[in-house]
Amino acid sequence: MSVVLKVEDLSVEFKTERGIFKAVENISFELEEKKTLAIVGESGSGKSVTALAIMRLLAQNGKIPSGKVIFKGNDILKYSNKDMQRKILGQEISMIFQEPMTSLNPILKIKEQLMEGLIQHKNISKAKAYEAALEILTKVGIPSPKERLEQFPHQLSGGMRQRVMIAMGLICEPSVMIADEPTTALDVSIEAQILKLIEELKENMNTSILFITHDLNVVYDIADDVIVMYCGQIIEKRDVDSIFENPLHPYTKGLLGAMPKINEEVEILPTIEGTVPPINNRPKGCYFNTRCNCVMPICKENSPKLYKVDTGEVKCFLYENGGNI
Amino acid sequence: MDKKLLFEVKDIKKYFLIKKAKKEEDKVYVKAVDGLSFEIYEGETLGVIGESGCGKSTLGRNMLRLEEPTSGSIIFKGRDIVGLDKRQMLELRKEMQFIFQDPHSSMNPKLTIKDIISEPLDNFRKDMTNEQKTNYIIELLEIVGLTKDVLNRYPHEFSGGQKQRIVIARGIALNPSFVVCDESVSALDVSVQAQVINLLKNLQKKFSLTYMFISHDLRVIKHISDRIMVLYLGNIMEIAESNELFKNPKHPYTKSLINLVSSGEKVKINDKQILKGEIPSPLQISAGCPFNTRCPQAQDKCFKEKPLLEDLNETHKVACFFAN
Repeated sequence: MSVVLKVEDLSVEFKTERGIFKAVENISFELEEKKTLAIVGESGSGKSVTALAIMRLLAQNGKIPSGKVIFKGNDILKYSNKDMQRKILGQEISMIFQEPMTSLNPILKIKEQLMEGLIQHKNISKAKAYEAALEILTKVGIPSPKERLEQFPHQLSGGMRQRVMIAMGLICEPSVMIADEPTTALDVSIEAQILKLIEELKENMNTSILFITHDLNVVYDIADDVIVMYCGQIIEKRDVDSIFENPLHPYTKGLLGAMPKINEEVEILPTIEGTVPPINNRPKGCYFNTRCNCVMPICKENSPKLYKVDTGEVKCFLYENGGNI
Repeated sequence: MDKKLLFEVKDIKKYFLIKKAKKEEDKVYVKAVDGLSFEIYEGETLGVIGESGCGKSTLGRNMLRLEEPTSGSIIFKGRDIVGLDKRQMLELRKEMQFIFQDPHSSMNPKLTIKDIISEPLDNFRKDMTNEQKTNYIIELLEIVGLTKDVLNRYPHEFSGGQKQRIVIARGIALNPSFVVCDESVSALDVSVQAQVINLLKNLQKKFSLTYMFISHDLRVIKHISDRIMVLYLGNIMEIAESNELFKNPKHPYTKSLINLVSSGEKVKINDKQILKGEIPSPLQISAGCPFNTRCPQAQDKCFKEKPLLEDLNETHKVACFFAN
């Protein structure tokens, strides 16, 4: 399996009036060809910031103090903004967001928004771009695509808009698509349609997907590999079946336990005590030590490494010897 | 078990006029809630599930008369509350509360937590002294898992889960008997969501509350509800006890929803049966069954006649010609 995107030791920090805060701390992962890697975490875990850092779309006060983002052998963090826009964004790596309405331009027709990327990146004629736009709209399952091309975003339903977003993301046939909570705002039946569409397109178009979500059910539906983030760190990294059958990190266990399940009857849902510590007040040692039900003295002193286990890596002292205690 | 009726809702309708005209036949309405009849029993949780535009939130607001229903009756403890005037309604307000999805927009950002929780008391408990109020507020905060340290702080200082706890504390301050929870846990992270669900369940036992729990999340609804009502485009498709509905769904719409989340939960998206098409615009509802545009089993009859909600047995009702 060849690796398309490799993130090495990436950190992101934000400078604010109250000081410098680390939103992402030294994370590393690899996205393999034609695979879906899901990054899952709660609010403030750094999952969206990771995506924005890869795309070099961080806000003005965001800095990347360390790390590499290696795409097809080149560290794209070293690219100039101009090169990034010309060679990478939209063409090699594209991104779709949660709320399609805020990502689509309300005063441009669907066809103009679809063709824009192609004309920018591929230097082709308008007529050819139109053909491509029509083709991609058909591919993402929009009925009567010819009429839709002439419409404006407000004339489409939420599900349709998300399909248009996906079409925009895929029109240049990128190697990587980053999807940041693309189905969170959709109804369940429409969400299922969109997930299935993403899965099919991944197969047909040779695209790898970095899928960012807070929803573990969605992760199970579409991911091959899973990264769990907590307070800006990766705390567990494993393949999807192992993580759901046998979660290792106490946080992952807690998250899976806290989800209501269809086939189980429980009076009281298991919970993770407390709340995520704020970015300016993270505890010493393991960031999860304030909420962990397996906490040991060492957890309050030192931060664990990502330890190797049979099916991946876990950032917890319980697995210091590969889980053989 | 003897079940005591708390609400009896009869043929409630809420139409929104969106195109005015002189002649009645030229007017255009959105039929957000189109003739719902159901009961809510004391101490139970009635789950209401449905996708955008099914009328679940409109129904919730109409139940508390935050909006005037177009027609129908809502009988609360034996008394029809539709048509009560403002003063009569004010007396009933104490007994009914609403908890919204976004706690942040439910609180005045300029008030302290103490003032926020004190508001319903200021209005309805004029017999209480300030000291009594403060003590009671501290008690409420402890019930929802917060401490008195929060009294003089402001909403923006709290996380989403904590804010929802504060809103819940305010909601139970007047000892209501009925609470509408409209997507009350939908905006919360999983770990916090579980805490708030447990809190709501706890309070229900402690204060014998009756809930109408509105959500789009089947897993949450299944966990919290005794009975579940499935809505689609302003109509009830199916209503049954929670376990029965999930074990033995009869309506094709219910079946498709449940299929998405169950089958042992070990099925990936590629192997799931997925409903085709989209929810039609409420302006273009065709004749017959509201679900006919997406139903995999639709027959000629479904495009001509609208199926009525009929008893399958004592506790299970379904609106489909081909439920059996």
